[in-house]
Amino acid sequence: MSMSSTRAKVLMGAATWGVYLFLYIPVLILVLFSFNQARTGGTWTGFTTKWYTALAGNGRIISATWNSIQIAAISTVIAVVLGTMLSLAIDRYSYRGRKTAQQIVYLPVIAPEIVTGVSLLAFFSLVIGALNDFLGRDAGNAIRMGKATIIIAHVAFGAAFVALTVRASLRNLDPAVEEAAQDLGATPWATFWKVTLPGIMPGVLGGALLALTLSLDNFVITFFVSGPGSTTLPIEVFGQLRRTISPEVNAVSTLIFAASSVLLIAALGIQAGVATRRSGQVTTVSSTPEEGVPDQ
Amino acid sequence: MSAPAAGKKYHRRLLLPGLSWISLTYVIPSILIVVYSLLTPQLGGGVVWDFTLDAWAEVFASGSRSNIGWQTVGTALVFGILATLVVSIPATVWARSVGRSEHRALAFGGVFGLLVAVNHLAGGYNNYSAVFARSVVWSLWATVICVVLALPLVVFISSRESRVAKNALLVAVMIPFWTSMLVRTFAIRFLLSNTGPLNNMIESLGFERQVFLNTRFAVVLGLVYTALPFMILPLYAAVERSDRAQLDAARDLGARPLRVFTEVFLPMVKPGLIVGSTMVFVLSVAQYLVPTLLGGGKTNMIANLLDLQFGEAFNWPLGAAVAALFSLVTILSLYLVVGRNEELDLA
Amino acid sequence: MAGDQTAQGERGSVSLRGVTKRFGDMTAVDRVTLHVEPSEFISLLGPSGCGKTTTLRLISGFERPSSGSIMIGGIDATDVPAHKRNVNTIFQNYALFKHLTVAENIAFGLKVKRQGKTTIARKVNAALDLVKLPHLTSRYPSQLSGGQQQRVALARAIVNEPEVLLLDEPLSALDLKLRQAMRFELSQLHRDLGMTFIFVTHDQGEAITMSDRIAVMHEGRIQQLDTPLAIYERPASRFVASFIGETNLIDVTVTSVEGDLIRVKVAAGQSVLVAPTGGHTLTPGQVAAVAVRPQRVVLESPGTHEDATHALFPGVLRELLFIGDETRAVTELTDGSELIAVRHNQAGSHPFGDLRPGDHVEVGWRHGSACVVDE
Repeated sequence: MSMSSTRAKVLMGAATWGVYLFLYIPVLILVLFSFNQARTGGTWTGFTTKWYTALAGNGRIISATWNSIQIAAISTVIAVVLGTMLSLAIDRYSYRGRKTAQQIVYLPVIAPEIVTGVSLLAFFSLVIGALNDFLGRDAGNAIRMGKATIIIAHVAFGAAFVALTVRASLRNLDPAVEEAAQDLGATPWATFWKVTLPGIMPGVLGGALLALTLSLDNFVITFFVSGPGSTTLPIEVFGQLRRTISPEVNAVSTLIFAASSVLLIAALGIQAGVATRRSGQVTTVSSTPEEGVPDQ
Repeated sequence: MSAPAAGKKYHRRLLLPGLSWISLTYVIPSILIVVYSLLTPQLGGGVVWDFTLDAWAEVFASGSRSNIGWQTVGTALVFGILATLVVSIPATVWARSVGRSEHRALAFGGVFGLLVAVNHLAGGYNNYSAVFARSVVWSLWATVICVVLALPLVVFISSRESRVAKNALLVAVMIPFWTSMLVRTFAIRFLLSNTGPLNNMIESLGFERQVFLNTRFAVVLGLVYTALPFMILPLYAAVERSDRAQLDAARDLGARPLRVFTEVFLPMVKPGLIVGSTMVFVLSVAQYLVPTLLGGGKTNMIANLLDLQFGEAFNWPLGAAVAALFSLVTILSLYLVVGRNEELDLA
Repeated sequence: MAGDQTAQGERGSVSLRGVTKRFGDMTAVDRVTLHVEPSEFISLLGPSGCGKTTTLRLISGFERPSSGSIMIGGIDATDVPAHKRNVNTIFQNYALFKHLTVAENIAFGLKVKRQGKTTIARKVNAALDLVKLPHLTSRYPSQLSGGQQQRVALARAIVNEPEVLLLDEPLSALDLKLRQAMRFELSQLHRDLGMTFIFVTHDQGEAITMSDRIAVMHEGRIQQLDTPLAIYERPASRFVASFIGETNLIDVTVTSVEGDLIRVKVAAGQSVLVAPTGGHTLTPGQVAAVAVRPQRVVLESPGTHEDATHALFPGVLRELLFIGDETRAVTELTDGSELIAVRHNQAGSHPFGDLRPGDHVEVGWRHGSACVVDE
């Protein structure tokens, strides 16, 4: 019988490594073939970095990358400010309608992207149409969807995810600490900068990285609210890979994959660093054992 | 949470900017979509402000009724019954062993079977309910496969003794979770393409090249591939939170490993299973990239239908009706699954 | 079932022979040999990390020994998995199944063994009566108090009529008052059921009041295995002496062994006689310690005792501390070491007579009331 539990463990280990292979093999093959000589197909014909060199001269990819970075940077900054404010409003105050406000704030987390995309398309075209009529612009100089509409959309879901992440940090920050600061004469504004914000920094940083990544990676919503001249990197790549299978697409995908891995590891590193520094402080500060807390 | 003494006037200033931004981009457009579904389509996109129920009528009653023979009906029946059995039998056995109501397990299997049958039958109609049914069935398959793949993995990770090994294995799950959906979907498309690495390997082994792309297999594989981390992470959290001593207690009382698994382990990680399944399902059923890049066709899943109506077909009211119906179904199922389990707090 | 194969007369006995358990580089249990008699109440006592819980998990079958063998009921159980062993465990935090009701929790073991519905119902009710917890059958564990959960855990184990009941710090999650009441109830339950109890605890009070024998464990080894009285009176090592009760330990060098008595040299000066410990041999020249309970410390004005039955040293009384029903006297010997004496307070008289802090005193012990322990 104990034999079978050993066998179960071996099977479980095998299944686990199988799942990891499943998660990584497609991506690794994609990366591998970005260094392949042959222009088409999945046959290895020799190592080259020429597809990466070609990318450097691909104006469409470069301008799409630049668009993506601009959009992600602007929308992340706004989303972090709005999201942090929202999390404070939801977690630190009690008032009528708080529950409803919370449900609206988390709407972007649960709403299917495709529905958001088409709804925003309908909404923006209505608003922009009305605006063009009002300003009397014709087809030649009409306002169109573009970077502005993309940023508006990205800020919305970015703020929701920031609020979610920051709230997790807020829950670990004892409100009594803030009350103590006010008790010692700090204004609410000073309390926020000197006590609350340092306390929730891991959440704010985590939320910022999440918002940045979500903005850089977003395809579906962006696809519906973009216009001419505002093509982002995912949309450009999508267009190219629908047209042809070229190792250049593999190369740009590899770079995207590498960039998001670096972002993730940086995010985890920052959070782990803050967490260990924090826990070091906690053990020295709180010397009283928590009495009456059950073991479970 | 207690409010700071001077707090009363601050919450509005904190709340208003973000709340109005999200309302403007999520709440108002959702209302607008319902309004659009009641309007008349304009050629080349957009709407004419004439109210009509045409779009809704088309969603529920359309279809180019082509040849549906007895053969189709027969296979639909067989598939439906098979799918019912596949889901009901294990569900009922489990329900009985933990002393839970068997009716719910049976009903669950029945609904699944019905969906499979409708899906097969509606394949001949090519109408909207068929797309809905197909999206739901494929997403359910993806959910079930994700559960099966994730369970041994999370148990394996959480039974590692070194903290470092656990974290490394978890980060290895999170990297694909964090990577662009487009890149991940493209990776599968590249792997499965007709002249891709997989087919080359098959050929070099002396077999014939297969068509993988633009099949149900490719789409379900893609759904599993993109959604699997969303199952693993909540399930892992549930396993880590769970009380190991209860597993020991069950063994101590004489339960065999299988019984420990079904009667103690599964009920213990149920919250994680529910959250994970909900996330995988909701994510899959609304997938756009996977059916587009791996399914090929124009009306594979709901998202393709929406894309078609708001794009090439330029029937915005019809697309709006589909979107409204889809949101309703999603919100209802989220409410039913998550809302009832109070210990699950997604927000 | 394993119980049916049990040799008559051995049912309920547990034998560990040279059992070692290593986790990586760490040796949690180191060559432990222990024989538990049927119906005995034995405690494994030690600080956290001493290997007591691992020993228990080896007996229950959750861990397999790296070497050595385990017999339960006279049958080799070393390779028998946990679910086939006829022993049951009370877990530290009870490990009740949160998704099952009280009755379903208790019935779990019986259901697994495929007993009939009516039998199960009868046994569950009997077990609930035994732990004084009827009327709560349809509650869930989360709706019970800590004490009630404890009783459900007890009922869930004993309903299976195991040969051996393993208790892993079962009282540690309860509050003080409940803990003391449960000590009494556990002893009574042990008498009524006639099962072997193996009880793991870090609380010497629990071990001393309930056990037939105590195995004191330290760093994976059994330091001493004896009755509570013998362990209290004759600790085998410095560790046991300091772990059980309060003890004065005085560093000494063994000068000679004179039959039953051992002569030691105290740093403060003289060579004195003390009674030996049971168990181990001491050789002249060896560094050891004398252990004296504070209640047994003799504290007098100089010159009160001049006979050869006492070992007394000059010192100074530093402090008198009144602590409710007793008074503690802290004395300092000439070499700077401290000796503490404790007396019960009695109405109307001072327990240490006229002695006041700062007085010169003679302090020490009567030969039979101290013992020598090795390092």
